[in-house]
Amino acid sequence: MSEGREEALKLVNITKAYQMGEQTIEVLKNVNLTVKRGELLVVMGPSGSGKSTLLNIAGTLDRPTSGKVYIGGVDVTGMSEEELSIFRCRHIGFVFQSYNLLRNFTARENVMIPMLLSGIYNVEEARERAETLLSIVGLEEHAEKFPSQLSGGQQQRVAIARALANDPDVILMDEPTGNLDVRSASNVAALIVWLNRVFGQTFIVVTHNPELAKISTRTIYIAGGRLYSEPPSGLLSVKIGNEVDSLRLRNAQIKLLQVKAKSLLRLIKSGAATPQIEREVEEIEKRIADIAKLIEKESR
Amino acid sequence: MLWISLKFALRDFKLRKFASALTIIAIMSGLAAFTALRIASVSMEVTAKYMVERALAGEVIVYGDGLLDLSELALPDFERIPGVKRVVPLVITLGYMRGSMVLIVGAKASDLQFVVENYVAGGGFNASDEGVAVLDQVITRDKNIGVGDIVLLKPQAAKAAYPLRVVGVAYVSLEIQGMGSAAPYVIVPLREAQHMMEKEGYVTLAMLVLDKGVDPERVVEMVRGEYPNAKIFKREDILKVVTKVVSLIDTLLLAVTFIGLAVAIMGTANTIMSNVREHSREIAILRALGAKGSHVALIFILESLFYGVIGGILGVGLGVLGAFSSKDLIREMGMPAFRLQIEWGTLLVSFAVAVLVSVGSSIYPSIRASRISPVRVMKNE
Repeated sequence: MSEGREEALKLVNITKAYQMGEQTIEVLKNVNLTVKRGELLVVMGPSGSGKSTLLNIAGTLDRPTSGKVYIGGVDVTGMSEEELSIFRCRHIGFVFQSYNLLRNFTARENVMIPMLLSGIYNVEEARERAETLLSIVGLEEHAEKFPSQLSGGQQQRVAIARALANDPDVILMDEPTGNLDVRSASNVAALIVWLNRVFGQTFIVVTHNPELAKISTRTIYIAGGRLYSEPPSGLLSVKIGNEVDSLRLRNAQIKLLQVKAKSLLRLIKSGAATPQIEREVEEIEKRIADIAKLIEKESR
Repeated sequence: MLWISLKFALRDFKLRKFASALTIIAIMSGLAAFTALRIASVSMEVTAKYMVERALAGEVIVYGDGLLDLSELALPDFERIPGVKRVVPLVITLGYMRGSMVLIVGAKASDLQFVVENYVAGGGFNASDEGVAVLDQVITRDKNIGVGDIVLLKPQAAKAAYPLRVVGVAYVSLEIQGMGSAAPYVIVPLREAQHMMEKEGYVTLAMLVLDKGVDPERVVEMVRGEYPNAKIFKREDILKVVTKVVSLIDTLLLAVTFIGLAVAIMGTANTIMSNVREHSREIAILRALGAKGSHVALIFILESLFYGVIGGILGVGLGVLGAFSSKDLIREMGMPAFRLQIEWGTLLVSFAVAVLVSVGSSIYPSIRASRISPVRVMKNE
């Protein structure tokens, strides 16, 4: 039991499969992950690797096909939707790439919402705590502003304050710096580190930004629905090489240009041509000739 | 959660001014028609019942056999029936006065209270009076007749006209002259009327006023036992017929107003549905933050309730104004005039309809909203 309390999140043999017609696609394959309290775990992986699905399942937004999810030592796998709502509210914080603040609510009100939803605090208490949380993220001056009146970096800091609202076991972040400029991204990253070191807040940050890996206490990698402690070979490399059929691509390019030239010539014949269109036709003919020469050269 | 739902709904309401205004107008117009017609129909029903009760002071009305009048000799028999408090004999016939058709009512001086509600000028006649009449205020106003004037009255069946001295001008609240062929009243002593008609010893009808709690059916049976050929009516039967007719009109009017209410329902449902679609991402955010489905549904039910309350208040107000207009309109169309019965109950029912319409039309969109999965918060990134 004491071990359970030390674990902010534990995923045991998690598999997630989707049915596409007759085909079954396994997005997560027997994933096991334990995140201890106070960790700042960065999960890196390219698009389509299953990292969002992992985050959804870890955050109880989605259910695994098989396996078990423990948050703060509690098995949440069999909980009903209503039970999950309450549990999510009190034990998990979320920070999303596009901030996801409620646009009709001020910064303070956005931070108050999870506290009011938890049923623990009344409006006054929630307001007081929200103001403290906003001062922690350096936005006490902006409490009355609506999201549209805040910069991206400020909105993300409000989102972090909101995620902290109910002292969650774990804060899950999905590309928290994905929509930010370099300076704002750096500020947000610094805030995450600070909250982790000073508050001991547990974070799981999913990203494909290698810069964020530098702030982690541990980095893991996800590819093809599996977790790796080291980057799997070729995870982030771009493969452009011999397997690309250059002849086929050049022929396709010629075909595209020919269709365009034909369409432009039809316009010239109908009398709708401008000098610019005539110049464009000449340009296309020249490009087709150049590509043909290149093909001839490569085939020798 | 109420705090969040109220803020969400109120701010959305303010932000979507145009859509909100249109929805309120839809509810308001539907409800205004409903309220106006409801007031009008309640007023008509109350007025109609009142008219019948005033016109027929007795619970049981006995006519003669077929076209024949009722002999006065029968009246003591009626008085002897247990439960009969009073017998009011009346002679009723048509006549003319200063070129206008009038309804001549012959009544005993002691029975004037059953015919006249109150006197505008002068008073009634005494049992010993002869050649006197009490006129309906309508004809005195139209023909410029006053108390003390001598008027000529010619019953339809009589050969001669009779000079009468006007002793009183009466307000006949039922304004029965507005109903079809009925005309203003001229009330004369019973004997005078019998004499004019040359039907001494006969009356047109006898109204039997019963003691409280007496079953009219029992009295009818006893009258029928002695006078099997008499035509006997119970006031409650006439009231039932009147109520039935008014209910039919009421149903037809309600059917018409349901079209307006249907428009209000569809308008509100459409607005709330588009609100749900527009806020699907925010709903997913709330769900991800821990809001239950019922919390989300509450937002849209509350928003709809705002429309209902505002549309309801405006609609009820407009409906009352509409009822006044419809009263004038009905009068101009030559229908019987009625007194507007604006009761709190009617207004409350109308307001409750507005609330029900708005909340009812938000149920489906709210259920849809409550089913939005929190996973959408990630998918739409």
